[in-house]
Amino acid sequence: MPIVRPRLTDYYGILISQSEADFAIPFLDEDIPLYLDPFLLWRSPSQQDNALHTALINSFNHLGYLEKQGKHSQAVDTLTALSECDEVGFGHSHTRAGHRIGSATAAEIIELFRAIPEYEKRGFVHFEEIQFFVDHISKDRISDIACNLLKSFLIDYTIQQCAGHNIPTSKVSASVYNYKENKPILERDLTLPVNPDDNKPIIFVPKRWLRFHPWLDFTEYVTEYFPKEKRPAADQSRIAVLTFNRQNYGAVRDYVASKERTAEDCHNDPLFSQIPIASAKTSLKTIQALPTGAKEETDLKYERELSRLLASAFYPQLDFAKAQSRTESGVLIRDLIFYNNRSHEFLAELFEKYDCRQIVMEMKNVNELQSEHINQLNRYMTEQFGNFGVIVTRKMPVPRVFRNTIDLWAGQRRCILILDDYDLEQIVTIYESKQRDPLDVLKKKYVEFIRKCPS
Amino acid sequence: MDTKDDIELFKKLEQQLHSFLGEMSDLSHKKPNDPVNKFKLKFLNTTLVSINKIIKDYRPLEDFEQFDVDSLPTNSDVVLVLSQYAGATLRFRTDNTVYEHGIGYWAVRGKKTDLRAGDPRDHKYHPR
Repeated sequence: MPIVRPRLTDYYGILISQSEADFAIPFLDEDIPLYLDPFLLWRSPSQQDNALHTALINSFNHLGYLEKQGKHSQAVDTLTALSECDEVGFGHSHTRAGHRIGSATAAEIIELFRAIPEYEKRGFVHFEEIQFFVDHISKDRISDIACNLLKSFLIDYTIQQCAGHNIPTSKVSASVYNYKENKPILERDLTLPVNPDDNKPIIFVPKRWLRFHPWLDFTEYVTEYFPKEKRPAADQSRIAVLTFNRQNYGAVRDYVASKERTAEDCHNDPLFSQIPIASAKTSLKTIQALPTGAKEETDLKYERELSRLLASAFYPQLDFAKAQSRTESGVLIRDLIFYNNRSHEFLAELFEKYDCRQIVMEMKNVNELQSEHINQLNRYMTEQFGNFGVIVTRKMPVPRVFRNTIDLWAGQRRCILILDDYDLEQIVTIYESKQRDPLDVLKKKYVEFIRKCPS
Repeated sequence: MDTKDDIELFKKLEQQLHSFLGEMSDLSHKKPNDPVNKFKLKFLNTTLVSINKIIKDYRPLEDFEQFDVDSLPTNSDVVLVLSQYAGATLRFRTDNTVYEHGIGYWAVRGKKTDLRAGDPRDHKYHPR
């Protein structure tokens, strides 16, 4: 069984958690739900980032230069080639593969250098403004164009990060934008990490450039800045806004100016944000108040609250991978999967002793844990989970049932820990007090379990 | 008390124990169920291990030598144990004090020394 939601580092056994890495760790079979926001380079205090933004804008504005020189088709071809960057894998695709824009959309973008006098005269300062004038241009497209124009730097950055973390690389070819020739050129013999599934190159992007939504955002512009009286009541479509913008560049200019004024508030988004302490306490209270069983979807509520609570509590030692479900003997079983990147001595022990590459936590909102529940998890513990698993339930099982976990350890050296509501309470107490790591509760349960096992 | 050196060490440890107990009692009043962090536990354990060596059979809890970091002792757990140790050190002090003309002196291996011990009641832990 392969790793659940595999990341590049997990595949190669690299010991690094997302919080420690300077780059967004790519998933192998799906995109990272973040985007490169060029505005973060513009507002960065780093001269390097500012210079890269200037290079990025100059390259984009070169498309306008080509247009003025009458090389329309060259400009369209270049922009089309720059419109998709599969190597970085940002967005919401489950395949890590996207599609380029069509030549009509590219032509529409290039046309902006003629249609809007300001762009014709001085070019763009923030090229992401194209989303305010052209349909089918959204944050993923902006991000991909930026990544392509910065790809030469990103390749160097990736090589440096791979060397620092001993991430294996291969010789690959990739199309890289060339600043001297102002067009993408196929570069060979690049030493980049590759996706083991399809041997396609992977490029890393610094976390400090990533946001869920760009700072200059079409949705925000429409809801909070767009003059509503100018929007015809009969036509509430995106096209109506785009048409208005084309004829009233001042509205976009004012929006961009106001966003530049508040640039200090523009920060990168972390890939994972812990829930606030108050939310953790609310989740705990909700869980404690829930009746056991599956009536009125109490099991779903239990699993939902538990997911958000544990994913936050065990961060950053454990990166949350996925909440998933499976059916066994007609029963729906839900569990939480965490990556074990061995960032804690206890986690390293789990890896070494139990060959546990991912930690599975099965959620059971039952009144009384049965032997069958333990056996279900035991049957599920294969390959990436190794011989370690956790059951999170409402209360500790009777000794007869608990004895099963001891027997599993004695017979097969398999370790199944059981957490109950009391343990969750302790996790939340520690999450609030910050005197210890909530992960220490898991370790405590492990130590208690081992002490009960025959020596 | 085995040697004269133990006397000075005991006085220092007794003082530390009372300080820890005072601090932990304050924390326990506010958050009895909060676990104690590893930094504090390290120093508490160092002190308790040293006291155990001196007081030997006066150890208050038969199964306890020091806090287990992995078992996440809480503020109230720590206060409970330190209170027992405060009582034990007082008993140890009392039993190792001999009087001459109404003045208390330390005893080493049961024999009076010329080191004044004072009145053990003056060294009883008083909650803040």
